[in-house]
Amino acid sequence: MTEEVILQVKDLKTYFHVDEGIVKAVDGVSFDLHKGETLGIVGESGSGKSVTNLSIINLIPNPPGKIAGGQVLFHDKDILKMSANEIRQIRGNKISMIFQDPMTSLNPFLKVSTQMIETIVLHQGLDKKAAKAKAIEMLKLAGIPAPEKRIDQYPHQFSGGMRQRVMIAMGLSCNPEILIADEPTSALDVTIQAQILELMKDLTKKLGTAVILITHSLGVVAGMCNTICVMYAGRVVERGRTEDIFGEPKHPYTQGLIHSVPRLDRENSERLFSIQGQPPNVIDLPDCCPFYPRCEKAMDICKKKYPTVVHSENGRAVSCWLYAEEKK
Amino acid sequence: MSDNKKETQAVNEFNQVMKPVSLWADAWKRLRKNRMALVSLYIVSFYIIITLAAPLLSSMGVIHDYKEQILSNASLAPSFKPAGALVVAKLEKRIVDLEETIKSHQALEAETGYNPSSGFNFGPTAEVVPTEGEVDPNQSFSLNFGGTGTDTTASADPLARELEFQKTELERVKAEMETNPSAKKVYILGTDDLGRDMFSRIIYGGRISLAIGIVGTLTAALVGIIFGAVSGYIGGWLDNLMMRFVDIMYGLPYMLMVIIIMAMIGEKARGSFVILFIAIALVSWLTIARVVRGQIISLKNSEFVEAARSMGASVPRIIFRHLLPNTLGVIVVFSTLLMPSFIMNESFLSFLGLGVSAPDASWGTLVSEGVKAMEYSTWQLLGPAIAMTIFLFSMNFLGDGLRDALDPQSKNRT
Amino acid sequence: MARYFIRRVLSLIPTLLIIITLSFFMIRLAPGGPFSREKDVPEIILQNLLKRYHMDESLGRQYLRYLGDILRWDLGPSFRYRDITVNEMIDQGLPVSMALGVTALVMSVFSGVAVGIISALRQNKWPDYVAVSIAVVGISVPLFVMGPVLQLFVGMRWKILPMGQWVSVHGWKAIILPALTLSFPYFAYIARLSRASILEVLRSDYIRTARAKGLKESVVVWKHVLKGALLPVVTYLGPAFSGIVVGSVVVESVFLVPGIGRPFVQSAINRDYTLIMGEVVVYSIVLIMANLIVDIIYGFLDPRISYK
Repeated sequence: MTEEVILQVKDLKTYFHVDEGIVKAVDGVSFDLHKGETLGIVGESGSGKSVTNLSIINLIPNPPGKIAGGQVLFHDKDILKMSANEIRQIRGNKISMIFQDPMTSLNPFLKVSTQMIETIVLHQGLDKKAAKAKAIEMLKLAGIPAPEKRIDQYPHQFSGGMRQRVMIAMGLSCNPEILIADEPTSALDVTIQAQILELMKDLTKKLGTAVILITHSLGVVAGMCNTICVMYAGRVVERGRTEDIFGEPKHPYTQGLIHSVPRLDRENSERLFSIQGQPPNVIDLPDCCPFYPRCEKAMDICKKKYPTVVHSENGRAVSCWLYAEEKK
Repeated sequence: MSDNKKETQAVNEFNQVMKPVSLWADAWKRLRKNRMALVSLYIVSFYIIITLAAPLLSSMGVIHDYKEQILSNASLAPSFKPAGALVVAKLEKRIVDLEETIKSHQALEAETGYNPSSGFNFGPTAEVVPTEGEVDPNQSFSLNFGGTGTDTTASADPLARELEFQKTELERVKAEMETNPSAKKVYILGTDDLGRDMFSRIIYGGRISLAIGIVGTLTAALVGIIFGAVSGYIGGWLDNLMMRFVDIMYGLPYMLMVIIIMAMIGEKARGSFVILFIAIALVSWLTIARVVRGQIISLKNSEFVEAARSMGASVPRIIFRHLLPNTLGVIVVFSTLLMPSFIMNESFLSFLGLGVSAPDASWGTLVSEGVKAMEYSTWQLLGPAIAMTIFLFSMNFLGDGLRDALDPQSKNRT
Repeated sequence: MARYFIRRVLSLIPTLLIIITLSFFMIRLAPGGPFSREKDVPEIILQNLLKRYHMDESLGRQYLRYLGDILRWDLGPSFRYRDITVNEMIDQGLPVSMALGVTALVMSVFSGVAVGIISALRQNKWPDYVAVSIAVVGISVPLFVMGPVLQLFVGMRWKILPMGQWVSVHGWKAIILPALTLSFPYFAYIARLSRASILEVLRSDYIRTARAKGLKESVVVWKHVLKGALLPVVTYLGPAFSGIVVGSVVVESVFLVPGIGRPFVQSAINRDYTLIMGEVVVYSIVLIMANLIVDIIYGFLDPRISYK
């Protein structure tokens, strides 16, 4: 990637204070995002992927959550240190976010036009009429038929897939530099999923938007992303270009994930593979590699200390004692 | 890992000790953290214990007999001093008032030749009725009825006559103060118009109000649960019908019907608590029915129900053995919130004279009497009113706390 | 939309019918009659009285006769107050009671919502605690305590407001104390309800979206939160108005308000059949219409409901 780096997440930590203890939902996450790049963040439920992205635009509910450390540099300015006013100018405008469940993510009591126009008016300074025209145009781009009529309808009058198209149109309406998509297709039917993903790919390429795509599906990531971050228990365990990760997964967890995908080109006689065990409860984790109880290659040192990050070429990074040992 | 000895503590994959937590233990932990709810719990328990122990306390002499009427101790203010002293104080104050009034009337007479009070003579004065205040000096005619009173030696001035009477009273009470047991009683919340101890009346009133509240709530809850469970589980047209019924009832002033029923039943039947329960329970079961139905509907398609059904469990069995225990949390919360409303309704009826009838008195009856005496003895109203309010207040906070503790995702979570 | 309205109005009729029938038979079948409390009335006069009020007919016939009377809106003469008809009593008293009830309802809604909003937005800070405590007091102190206490202190001791009677005597100030008393428990409930509802909406996904779009917090609250959050309050208006009607029975007596609530209890005790039935009919109609209006308002406010 020779494009410039527009976003740098450095050692981000987000903790939640609950009765039972401190939940370290994000515990030292770092990655870079280049202009026009599509970055995929993969992980199981509870791995911290959503919280990471909410932290980027500082939308963590406080209490009980708190961004406990790290930096998020957008064009070299730390978002986490910005005033409320400054952040609001970025949200929806330079960095846009769309969410998983379009039914609950759109206000059921306001018309779609109202919800789309307010963003455009706020960030682009157009008057209501011009804003509406722009909104209609975005809806058309998003593949909604008869957008002039439908824009005045309410969210419940759209089907699930259509609603997500509306969300995408709304998210891209101010031509942001980064679009964060938090599991945009998980709540949709499989056939619609493909359509939506295609749409996202097209539009973001057309507009030159960088995308951070959060998902638990490796298939989605393979089709859409240039780079991948694999997260586990609040940390990035492996990072790199898509072809590198799929071609040569280094971290045992990544290997397990890839192995778990059922293959159509193999014999049916094999049992389906799944990584044994469960993702950990992230309250009061001891200092160790959180994956070790499930890791086939676990060593003694894995129980005692969190592995150091090992970098290699092409932006590859992995946190595993297997490779730290090698380097030694 | 040794298998012959059972692990006393469960350990997770990181060798951290995990404590097993049941739903109720979890809820209790959360409840304990909510200070207001905890305080409310103590207050409610306190009330329950005292009202239960009331007969015991009464027989032990710790509290006065709530039925005993001692007219000479009527309308005393709350105090730690013995009743005798208070009566003496009251008499002394009255005497001073009278002496001053008489003096001012005499001064008026000296100036204008007119004494406002000597003109009146309302006949036999064997029983002097204390005048409520000054005699109206504008009524200037002086008819003298002479009367056949035994006390013709005293002046015709009723104030002077009363003064004599009160003075004798004062002497008598002072003499009796050490010997008369009634004079030695201490009424920490004062007495009512008939000389009954307010403190014990309030406690006994609490017995009745609480009993009605608990039994009534249980009854209403039972009806509501059955209605809601059947309606929710069976669904279909039965559900529709039942819910339409509930909807209609919800918007109408059913209490008005209850008032009519209770008014028409007649005094004899009204004494029966059963009728009272039934009447109020009829108004109160609606919310619980709705809530239980909601829970059942959301649970009835869960897997454990499917499992039970696949094992051949009958419908009543599924409802009562499987679904209802899971709705217990919601039922407990709403029952706790139902009770204060039940007591409110009962006291409303008692206030109108349609609830508990004499000689039993609930808080509502006491407040009703207190309202009548409000002007001159405010404590008769404030005592039972505050006692009742504190209890209802605590029940409400407790119910809120229970709701938060049992369902952390619920709407009221802060 | 109009069709829905008509359908709803028509469905009122069976409800009304059920209420009237139930009340009628319940009242008539109760022991004692309207004249049983009078001192010994000579037999022949009693017979004439019964005949005049058609009480010598079978209960079924009386019922049908009454239904017919209702249709003609003739609620009959009062059994107790001999020189006035029920229609006249209702004509005089209903506007008063309606004025009091509506005032109380409006007071409770506006103050309740306002307090709920403040409380939710300042959650866990002192305005919240104060508001929650007042609200709990409001639902724990009975009407019949609040009323006389207010009357005693505000009316009698401090002489700020009139103690009783109505507008004709004291002007509009007379409405304040009774309306305040009536509205207090419902203001408290609405405050709690709106607070809880706003808090829940504030946690919802679509508010997260609104914030992610960079909207100012005040816009988020006023434009996005309130509309959805206040819907439960609208739903509550039905039962609230119903409670106000019940409460007015006491409040009108305490404050000597000349409405139709004041004679309610006594007319039941007196077995004044016509008056009590008349009140039941009128109250039922008022409440059913109020519920209908609330439903329609709700339908306008919630776009997810369509009245096809």
